[in-house]
Amino acid sequence: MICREIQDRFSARIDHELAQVEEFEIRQHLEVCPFCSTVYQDLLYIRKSAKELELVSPPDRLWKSLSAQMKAEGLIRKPRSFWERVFAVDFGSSLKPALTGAIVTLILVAASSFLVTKFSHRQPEMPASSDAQVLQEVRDAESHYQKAIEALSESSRERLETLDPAVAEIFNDNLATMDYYLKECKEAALTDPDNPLVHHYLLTAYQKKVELLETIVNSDSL
Amino acid sequence: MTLRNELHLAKVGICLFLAAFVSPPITRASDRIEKVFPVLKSPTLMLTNYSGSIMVKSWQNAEIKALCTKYSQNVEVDSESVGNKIHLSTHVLDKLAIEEKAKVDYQIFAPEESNLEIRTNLGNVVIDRIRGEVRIDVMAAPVRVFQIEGYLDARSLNSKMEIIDSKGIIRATTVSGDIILSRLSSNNITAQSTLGNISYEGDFSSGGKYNFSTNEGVISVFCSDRASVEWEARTVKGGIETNLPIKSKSHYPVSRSYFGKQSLMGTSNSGEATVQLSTFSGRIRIIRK
Amino acid sequence: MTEAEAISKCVDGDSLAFETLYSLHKRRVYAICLRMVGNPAEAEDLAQEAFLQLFRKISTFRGESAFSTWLHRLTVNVVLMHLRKKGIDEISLDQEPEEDAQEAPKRQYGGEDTHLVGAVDRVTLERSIAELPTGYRTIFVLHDVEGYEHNEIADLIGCSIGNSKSQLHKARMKLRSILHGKQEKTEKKDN
Repeated sequence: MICREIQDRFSARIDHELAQVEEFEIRQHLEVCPFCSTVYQDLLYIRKSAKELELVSPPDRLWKSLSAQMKAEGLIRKPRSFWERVFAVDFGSSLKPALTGAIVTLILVAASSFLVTKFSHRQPEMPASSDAQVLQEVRDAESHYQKAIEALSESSRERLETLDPAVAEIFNDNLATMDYYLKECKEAALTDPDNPLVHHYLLTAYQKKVELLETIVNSDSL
Repeated sequence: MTLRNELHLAKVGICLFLAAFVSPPITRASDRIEKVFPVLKSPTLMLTNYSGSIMVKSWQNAEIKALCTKYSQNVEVDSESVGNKIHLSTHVLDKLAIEEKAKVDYQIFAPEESNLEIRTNLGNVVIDRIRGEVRIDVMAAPVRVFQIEGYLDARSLNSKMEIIDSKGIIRATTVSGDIILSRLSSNNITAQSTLGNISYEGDFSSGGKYNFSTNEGVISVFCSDRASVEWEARTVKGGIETNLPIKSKSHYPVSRSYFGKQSLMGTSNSGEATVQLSTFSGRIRIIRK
Repeated sequence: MTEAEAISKCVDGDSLAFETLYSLHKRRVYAICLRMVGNPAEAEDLAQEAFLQLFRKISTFRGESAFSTWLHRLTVNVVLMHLRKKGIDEISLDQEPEEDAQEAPKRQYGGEDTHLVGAVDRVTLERSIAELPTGYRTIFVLHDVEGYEHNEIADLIGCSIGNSKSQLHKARMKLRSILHGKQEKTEKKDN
């Protein structure tokens, strides 16, 4: 095996990427070829030295220039008062999918426990009269889902712009489908507010829309 | 040969001669890569693709073999073997290129007891005779699964899903794709769709639980009148029809009828399996096979 | 103020919080920029840009990774964007640079080959890295200095993993060649 072929594999050896057979071949060659051995030792040394390179301090003027720019952009502001911090809740920009997922999980737990008691297959007896409390719970769950959807919608719009057009089109079609279906469920809820199956489908529709938005936000921008 | 025939032959010859120059250039053959990974018992294969067909079939060898066909130089097939886990993924170099240039077909042979995790956006997926845990996540790629045993969790946005001659725990979820379940011997099946239809053709195992739910689509269950099932079917705006002899339980109706039946609770034979069917506005059909 | 406190106060525009984060990470950010572009003036501009982007986006940091990892990646992306704007060929790893990277120092027959081991100081190494062609330097700094894996580099730069590996090898061989050249010059000067 000629030296050139052996040397071409030195980097792979240094990075532990060689199969055993190749490792053996190279080791054998290095034992008999002082020139390749020198090259190998040099590369090993370069690798080790590069890893040990120290950090470098920038000149002091960098911070001055940076802070001036930040003031000009309004990034540096006067501190907010305690009450300003307490009441400045912004779901729109600060809810990320992970946080949204946590909120949705809580909602689902609440909604599921509501639905289990109202839609249990082992409890065929269902009250005919409307239950104001149940309706309020459904409306609360709806409101939380709507906030989650609002929070995810902007991120998903931005993500869609980075996706392959064919993929973005599929997502958009599915979003349109979900919106149409949600509209149907809401209409059914107005027409038949006492029907727990309608409540179930309405909340499921919201849940599926949230899941779809999360899928979009988390998809790779291929 | 007459002059006329000779002229005719000459014309044909000239046409053929010219056609050789104006015919489309021979397209460059696609690149085919073969990768083989020796594995131990119950290996895991994780495959991520963007577009193209994926076929996984079982064989008797203690290795996973992947035949990858690239259709352009814009893609690379990356692979990594860590312990008994094999990672295969399509790496698209120019992410702004058209879909055709991101296409890679995978033909994979793996031991029967392999576990699979397959993700792809477009193309199609076929799984044949795998007994481990199988997870499939696709966007718009039709999925066909044959003779699997073990655990299957298959999800798609737009595409059709067919699961045939299989056993074990089965979960199938789509947004708008149809779900077709045929000749299954499973005792635990969940199929959910938003817009798609769900069709089940087969028997129900004693003690089994089957849950089919779609919002706008139609649920069709084809079974013999010897099936031993406790039926629970509900719909908001659809209707329920059946020609099976089902002994109805007395139960409180879900709501006023829009048309047809809105709920059906009953038993066929001794009710050994539980089948729950629900739709929002799609029909529910329970049909004698 | 701890890093975590500084991060949360940055969202409120607290200037002391910004200064704390800057002090904690300025050397790392500047070192990445300097080694990738090889020019102190450019490195200063890029470091400023990296910090500006960091402080503009800091409210979106959710702690899914370590803050330093997030900042590191942001800095690398700022530099790569800058290199791309300068001219796409500069960081194209598909092109062979004009010099043959595989050219090894001339073999001295009958004599021992000189090792680099122990003969190269930090300053010489830094200067030699700066002399690498841009494409080689990018890969070398990202992999050998900053510790990125090939799949991460491939993703950042938009090349294949195989390409990243082969270019890294060429970068190391070229760097060896540069270092030997400097070593020979030093020996001649001493003699």
